[in-house]
Amino acid sequence: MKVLVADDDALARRLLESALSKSGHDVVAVAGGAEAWQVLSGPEAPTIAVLDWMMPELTGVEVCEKVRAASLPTSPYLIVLTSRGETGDVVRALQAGADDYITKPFEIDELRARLSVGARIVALQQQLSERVRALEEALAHVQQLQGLIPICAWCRQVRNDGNFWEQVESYLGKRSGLQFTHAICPSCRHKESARFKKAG
Amino acid sequence: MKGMEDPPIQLALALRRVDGDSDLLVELVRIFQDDLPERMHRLRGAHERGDLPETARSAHSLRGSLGILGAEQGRILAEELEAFSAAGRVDEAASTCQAFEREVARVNAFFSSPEWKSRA
Repeated sequence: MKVLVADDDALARRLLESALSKSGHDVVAVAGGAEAWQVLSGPEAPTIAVLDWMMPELTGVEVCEKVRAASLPTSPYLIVLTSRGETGDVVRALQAGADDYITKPFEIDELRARLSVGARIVALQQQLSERVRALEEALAHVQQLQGLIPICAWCRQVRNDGNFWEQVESYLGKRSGLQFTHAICPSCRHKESARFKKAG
Repeated sequence: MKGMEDPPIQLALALRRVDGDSDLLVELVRIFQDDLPERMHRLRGAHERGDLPETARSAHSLRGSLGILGAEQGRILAEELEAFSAAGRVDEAASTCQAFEREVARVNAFFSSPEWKSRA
């Protein structure tokens, strides 16, 4: 999974980069909040970000606020790193849009475990988005076939939205993705063969 | 008594912080020592100017690095310096800043001696 690491302390940044790379993540590391925001709002943005709280230009918490206010196409899972373990600070980070926080100095095992939680949630969000998209597509098809459809009582052609008459199979095919094969039913076969015999 | 002082670094803790990767610890120490003069210069300058917010920020930044490297005493002093500076408690900040500088010098001396790597 692609993970953004943002910390102005080169030492902490390198530690995070190393620990997460060893866990198989594709790590993008930056040294400030403004850069972090640029990466998160850019194309192919990481789906998880580990943001230090205290950074120049934009703090980790301010980055969280910007991300949540921007309603990006993919909402990243945001973890704030803080050496402020007090409840008020944690509440502030979570209210700003962080999904989780880790207190510095952290244990690598804890970091990896929290990243796994993030990866699981991101995967669930993606599955959910795909399901919603599939349902929306299905709903669009259903809506296209709603309402009264004028059909000729004799030739069975259907009048479409452009006021043209077309074969019923063509009309339904365009609006539902249905495909038709042509056959002859027993009663028509009987009727038609009698007609041919009579004619021939 | 100086001879009875605790070592400035808890190597076992430092190794735990880097998941037992001693090569990574050596790399982190090199980064720390490369950046240290500038970071201490910034802290000292802010303290001398009486710029308490900047002193707190510098102390906060060093606190994180010292925590990773297992420099517990240094980390605690940095935390105190940050708290005193943020609270505007000038006298306590001044005395803590001196103690902090001494502790950081011990940390640096520890990592400057070649023996520590063989123990990591």
